[in-house]
Amino acid sequence: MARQQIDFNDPITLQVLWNRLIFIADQADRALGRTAFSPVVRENHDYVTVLMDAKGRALAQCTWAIPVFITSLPMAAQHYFLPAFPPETLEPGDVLLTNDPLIGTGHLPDMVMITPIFHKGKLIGYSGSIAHMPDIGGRPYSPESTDIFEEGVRLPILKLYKAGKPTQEVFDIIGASVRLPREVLGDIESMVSANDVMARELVRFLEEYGLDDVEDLGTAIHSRSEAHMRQAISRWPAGEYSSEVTLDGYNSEVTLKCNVKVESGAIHVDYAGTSAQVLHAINVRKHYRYAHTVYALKCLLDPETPNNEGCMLPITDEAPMGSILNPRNTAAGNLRNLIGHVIPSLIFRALQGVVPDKVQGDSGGAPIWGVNCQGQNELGEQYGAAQNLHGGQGGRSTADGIDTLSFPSNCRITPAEMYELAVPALIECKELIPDSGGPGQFRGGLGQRLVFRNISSGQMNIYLASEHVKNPCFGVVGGKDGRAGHVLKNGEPVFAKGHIPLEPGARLTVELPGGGGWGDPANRSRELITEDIRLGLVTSECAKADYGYAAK
Amino acid sequence: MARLAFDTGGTFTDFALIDDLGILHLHKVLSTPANPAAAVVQGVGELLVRPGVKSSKDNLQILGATTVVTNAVLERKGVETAFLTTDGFQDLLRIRTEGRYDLYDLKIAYPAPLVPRDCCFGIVERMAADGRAITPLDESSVGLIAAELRARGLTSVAVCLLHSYKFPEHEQKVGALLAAAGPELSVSLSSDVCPEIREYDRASTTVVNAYTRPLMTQHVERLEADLRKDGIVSRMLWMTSSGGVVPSATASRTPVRLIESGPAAGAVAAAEYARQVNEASVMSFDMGGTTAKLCLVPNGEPMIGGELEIARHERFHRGSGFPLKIQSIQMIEIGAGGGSIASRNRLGLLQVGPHSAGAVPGPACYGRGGARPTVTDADVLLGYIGADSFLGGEFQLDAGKARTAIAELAESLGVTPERCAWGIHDLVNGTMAEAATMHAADYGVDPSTLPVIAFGGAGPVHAYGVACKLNAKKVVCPAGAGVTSAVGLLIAPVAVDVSASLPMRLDRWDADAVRDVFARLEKDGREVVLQAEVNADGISYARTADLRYVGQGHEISVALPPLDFGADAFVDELFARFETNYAALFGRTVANSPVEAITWRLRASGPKGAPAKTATKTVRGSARDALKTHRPVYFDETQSFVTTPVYDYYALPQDVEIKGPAIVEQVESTIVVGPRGTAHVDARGNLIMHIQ
Repeated sequence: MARQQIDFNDPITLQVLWNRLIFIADQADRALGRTAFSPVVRENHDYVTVLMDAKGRALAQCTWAIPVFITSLPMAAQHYFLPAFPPETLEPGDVLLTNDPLIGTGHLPDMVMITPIFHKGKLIGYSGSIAHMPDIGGRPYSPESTDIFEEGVRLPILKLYKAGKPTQEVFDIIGASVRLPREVLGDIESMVSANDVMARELVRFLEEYGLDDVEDLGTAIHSRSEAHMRQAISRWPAGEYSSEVTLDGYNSEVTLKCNVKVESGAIHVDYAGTSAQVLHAINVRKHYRYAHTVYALKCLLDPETPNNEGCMLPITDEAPMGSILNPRNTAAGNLRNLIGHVIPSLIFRALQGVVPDKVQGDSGGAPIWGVNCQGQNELGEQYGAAQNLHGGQGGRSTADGIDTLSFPSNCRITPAEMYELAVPALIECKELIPDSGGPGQFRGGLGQRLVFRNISSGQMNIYLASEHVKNPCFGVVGGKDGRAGHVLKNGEPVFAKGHIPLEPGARLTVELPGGGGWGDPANRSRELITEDIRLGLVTSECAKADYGYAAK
Repeated sequence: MARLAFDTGGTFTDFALIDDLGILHLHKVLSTPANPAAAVVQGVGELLVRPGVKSSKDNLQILGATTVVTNAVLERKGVETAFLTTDGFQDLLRIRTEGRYDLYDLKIAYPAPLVPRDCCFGIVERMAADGRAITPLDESSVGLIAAELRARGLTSVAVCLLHSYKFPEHEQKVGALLAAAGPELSVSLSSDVCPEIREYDRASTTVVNAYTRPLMTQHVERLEADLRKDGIVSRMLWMTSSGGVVPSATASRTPVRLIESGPAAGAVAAAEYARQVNEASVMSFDMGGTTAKLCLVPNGEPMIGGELEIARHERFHRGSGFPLKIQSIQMIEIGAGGGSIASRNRLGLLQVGPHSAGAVPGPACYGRGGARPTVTDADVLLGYIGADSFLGGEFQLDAGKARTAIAELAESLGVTPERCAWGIHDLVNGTMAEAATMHAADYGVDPSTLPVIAFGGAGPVHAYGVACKLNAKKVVCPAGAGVTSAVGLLIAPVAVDVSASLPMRLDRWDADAVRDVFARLEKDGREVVLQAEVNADGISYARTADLRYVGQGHEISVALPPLDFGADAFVDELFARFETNYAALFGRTVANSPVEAITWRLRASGPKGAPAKTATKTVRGSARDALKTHRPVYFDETQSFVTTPVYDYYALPQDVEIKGPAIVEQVESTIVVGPRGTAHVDARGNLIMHIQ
């Protein structure tokens, strides 16, 4: 349709055009999920799609997203992809790929793919996707590695497709390096499709509106979002707010510290005082850290604006070089989520006096626990699948935390029936743990117990990722700690991280932590306590001990 | 035999009757939510005694669409239900998927499970994924639970055991034991209701069934008894979500299949309208007061799919409700209708919805106390809806109030009221067009090739704008749009969908196993269809399979070649069809990748109902005879108000072309013909608009 000059600052036009960009990212999300091969991508939704402008700045992202990916993708584009492959080196049909942790999301399983979008002979933007591969070679997905080289194959930024033609060697190298080549290569194809969808739809959109590029539209989106974020920050009292949290770490405890400095229209988070980097694979790289800093603050300040580059600009962070939140180049980091997922809780803790009604208690889903199950069947074929598990959400000012909820990530679980088709394990139970939610005016959500049995005739190897086993989830605004996690093999406690061999018939029990409470338990309403007891979420013994509750 | 259809809606119960002479009669009465049967009995009685209706009470087929099931879930008015599952999984309904439907909102919430935790019971048994009984069924554990159910007065039970989608033996045994233990128990087995992999989805579906089943059973029995008192003895048929009708016994046993009963009937009607205007594929667009529904109808049949969601905590947030795995006509529901409220969001941008002014207080122009601007108010200000001719002039609108409400919002946005009103109208059209595009793309269809069939109170008002955004060239506004679902019921065939999970790789084809599966499915399907008094020779079977590349988790539906094709040719043809569909959907295929079938589906159906003989439109003359008045109307093409003729739809002569811009007023709606459109009324009374 022929159009007159478009006014991108018109409140109606901008809404219409912006909606369309989000819609394009959602279309790509659908294409990726429907065609993916691995359970981690298709069932857990461990992937995102993001549309970026010609400078690599995020314009729009899929609605069902994961915090770390949506921030890492434009950062990777701006700081690495664009310098490595400037526009003059790209042509239609090119697809760029890397899984370098220093460039992307901080660990090797995440493939980061960017496709340049051309319109009227000019590069006008990029479609990007990140997805978590079910395997990436090296040591199976586990926190045990001690340097980056143990963790799998590393691809520098390269052209996976050149002018529409696959670079066969790259596919061959990946195929030869991973344990599940069909799933990994299939998932990569799904990413290519998703990026294609965004590229095609963006061009269609530009043609429809008679636009040459997305520059002015991007500027309008970014400036409005940025101004709004700065305004929201300005409503907070200026000052510095700090907190710390102690975590189990791998074999020694880790302390995270933050100082949140609120100024007029800007926030800077400094992680000075945080523990030094460690030998094992729980070190958190810069992009991953920053993504969680931004995510936590956006939840508190402006949960409604569709995320884009402008929302991030007013927020900066730093961590000392050599610390676990800013490790040196060869540090291992495959399970960086075990530390990084706690960053939002740390920030909430620092701000509990500033915005008590907005923060929530520490969550048992922070971090995600991973049960990665690997082995060979009778025919010598490799099987493997990772299951995600989550404890309870922290209590909130309006309601109890939700039981078993992914936070700050956003992964669904693989249904037991799907998981048992992928690996010869039997899930004997998957149930809530009563009394696990931290007491509070609004208590934490409940954690869960999962019992896992090897029903094959050979040894099964479990690689476990866990946290909050020694140090439970903390409460906020006077709320109490939740119940800590537990890991048992055949009923006996075992080291909660890394390789756990499971002989035929052996059982692994994992108990996920409950969320921390919100507010003083003494203020909890009697009706809520009675209801908890009736439903068996809290026992009468704990109701008495934690809330001083006595049946009438 | 005369056929009488009713559609129980929230406000009205609609009726359509094709009498013994084949003449169509329409009727409407106010719904009676406390006992929906009362409105049906009243309406049937009134319609049958209406002068000119030729229909005898003793030879009458009654068909129904109902909101009884949906409302029971939405209003949580179902019966107290127990959930029985494999021991260790009692918390399945509470644990859900562990994902969040909104990434940034820390205050999200989900509807409480329909079965509270203290009514969830574990049965000692366990099937492995390959069908081995790792733990045999402990029958005594079932006995104990049955005793507990009786002690607590729980009479409806949902049973969902792990891997029963493929290995239902334990579940069936539990069903038999419960039946023996307590004949008063109403038992829903997941392997009957929804034999699909993914335990949470299957359990959720089975629970909704159990929760609503006694209500639906009671509704059916009561209605049949009340009609019998009036001398009407009819074996009733009920509309399912997949667009076919089933006998009362089936409707009572699996009420979850009736969740989208009314909208499905509307989609069936849209398919009939498409046929009337000789279009193979269309997009139906039904826009009412609070929501709009879009439905792709390719090749004369609405698309059937297997995923639905109900009782969302946030109505338009996917993932915030209970998932249902039932066969249903694939529709997209959009949270915008005539009553949707426009506002300025926190970024200072115009936003429409998700809140709605509903029927009370309604849009500002209703003058019932609503002060916030709605889509209808914008449509009035733009001149699309006439303040004096709403609902045939029976309901006077207050254009001043509409303007005041819009002006206030416009001021906060820093734009003129006209610009604001156009923005509201255009934003809603954009939302509709995007949803339509997404929906069409899901099935690999280019939406610009599809005529739009518009109905519902607001559908014809917005159809022109939506069609322009889609680049669609044709809009059809059917006659009788006010009772569309009831009309759809008269056309719908008796049809039942049955399925079985039997994963099989195409390169390890077992022709006998496939034949066995379909023999069983045909037997099951035929039984139901025969109950509806369909002649055995008149039954047809449509066979499909859900296929995917080995290792994927989502399937696409592929129609099977004839079973007597010969094994090799059959597999080759099936593979080719899969790759064709896959490429259409996703733009590529996966080279050297084996393909597997997961679920086998059969639809057994009787013949379609014969459409009514509609009176041929006899109005002759020129368009000028139908001209009521002129009024200023805003159009985007001119960026200004244009003096526009307003026509009386009922006085428009057949096949006489009118040029846009024009407004055509019906009783239930108003058709906007924009500057790029031309329109005429065809012999059946459908208004057809072409857009340049």
